[in-house]
Amino acid sequence: MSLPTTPETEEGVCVISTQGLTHRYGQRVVVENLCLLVRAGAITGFLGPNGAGKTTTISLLLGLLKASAGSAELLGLPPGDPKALAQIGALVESPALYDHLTGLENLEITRLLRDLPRAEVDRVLGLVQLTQDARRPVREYSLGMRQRLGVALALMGQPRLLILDEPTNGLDPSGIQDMRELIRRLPLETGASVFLSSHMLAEVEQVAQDLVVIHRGKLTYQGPMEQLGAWGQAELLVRVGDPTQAQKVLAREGFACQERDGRVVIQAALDEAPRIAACLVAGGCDLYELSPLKANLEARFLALLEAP
Amino acid sequence: MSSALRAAFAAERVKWHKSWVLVVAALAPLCQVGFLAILFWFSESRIQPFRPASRFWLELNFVIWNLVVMPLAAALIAELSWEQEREARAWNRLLLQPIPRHIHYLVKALGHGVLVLGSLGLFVLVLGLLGGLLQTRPLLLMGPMPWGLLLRFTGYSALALLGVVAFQTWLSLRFPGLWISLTAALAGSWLAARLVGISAMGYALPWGVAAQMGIVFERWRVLPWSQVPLGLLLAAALVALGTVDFVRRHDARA
Repeated sequence: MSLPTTPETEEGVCVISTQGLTHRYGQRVVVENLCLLVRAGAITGFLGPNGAGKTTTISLLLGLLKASAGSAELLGLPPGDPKALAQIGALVESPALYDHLTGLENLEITRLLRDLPRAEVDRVLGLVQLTQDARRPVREYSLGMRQRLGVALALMGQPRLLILDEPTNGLDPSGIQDMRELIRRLPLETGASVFLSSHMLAEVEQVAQDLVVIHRGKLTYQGPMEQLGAWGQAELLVRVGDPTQAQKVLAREGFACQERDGRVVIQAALDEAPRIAACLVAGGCDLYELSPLKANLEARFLALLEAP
Repeated sequence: MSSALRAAFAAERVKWHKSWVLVVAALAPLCQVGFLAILFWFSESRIQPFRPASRFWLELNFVIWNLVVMPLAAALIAELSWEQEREARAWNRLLLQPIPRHIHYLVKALGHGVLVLGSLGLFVLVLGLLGGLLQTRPLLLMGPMPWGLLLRFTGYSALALLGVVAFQTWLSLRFPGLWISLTAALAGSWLAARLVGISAMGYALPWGVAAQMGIVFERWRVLPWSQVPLGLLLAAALVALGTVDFVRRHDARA
């Protein structure tokens, strides 16, 4: 029996690949000619505003919807293939839960369907910190608890690929923080690849290494996170005791800079940061902060959405 | 049974916990037999002409069960069970499990069948118990319980319900709605009962075999066991049709 061949990116094996993936609702094209390559072992953010076609794309990838044109492969197998599904955990839209059952019973259904050992239920309950509430009916759960249970369902069986559609919906700030930590840990602890859909750049930015951006169903960016932020040509932000003096020092060293809101913004790459710090200190400036200007990433993202 | 079917059926049974489908399966026979037992208990003079009343007790109960209560219970169980999935938007989760899609439908049909069969089992148990209680009323002229007849009626009813369950399972998938299910169950059963003894067309209906139970009041007639295989064939065809419909609907979902 031959194993399915998986496409490869420059960095390694792909867990998701699509070619010309298209989906129409009647005459309306919701996903158009999408060509994705998602590499293994990484967290890939799938970003786009509401209504961009993220959930439709995920449904196409998982075989919940049939593509109007094009093709997709997950772990080298077509969407909906039971062999692929056995290695994929997914949370699509809000969690699909039986309200009359307890959290434990909801997990038990998935455990039985996936033929997993009983210990798996306790493991995922612990991961999402729902052990205490596992025996309560789901109808009594808060939105955040339901979301965590949905993620626990997706984590059952230690999937190789985890597809999460807006997993932080309804979570409070501390819940968002916990979820972020959990997602960040997964590739390190289990080797899983994570495909994380969100409409919030800030959420994806903190965990993802790679980024896919879609807008109106079309792919607008695909690649490493830092490339979107154009870190190679980034602006650096400096907070110093005397901005005027710092500007003079930096200008002497050949850096283009300007004062903005009491801080100095320097047109320089991130790898120039050590030299900038050194010359500021040598020039007698009190250096309190030196960081890449985050606004760049957001500006680039917004520019992608505004592009025709 | 394949391992996927076994796993999916085990998962299906978890969904029954604290659900209305179990309540319906338990209450349907209890309500019917309990209500008829009260009628018998307080209607000695009206029951006496049908002596031996033990036989009449079985006949009346099995006729009402097969023509009214079982079709309604099957309709309710099928509808509530599919509604459970719709309410939970469960297909977003179930179809992501490594289980072939047709198994999901087969398990639903099997589950509904098991529940209605369980309901029949409870019906027979309560029938025997309350029949025994009624025998303590001498004026009812109950006579000894005809256990052989009870066994025959039970076997026939078990086979007769399969077509009804297969149809209601498919109907509730295709046309959701409690009133649609209940109306179809009552109308279908009524039509099948009207055709008994008039036309063989009745057997082409899912309720056809069950409706034949109506002839047991005419004690010289025997149950048409020879027609049961036709009913089973119809049930199998309905399950196959429902399975194909389910898989096609989810494959072509848009």
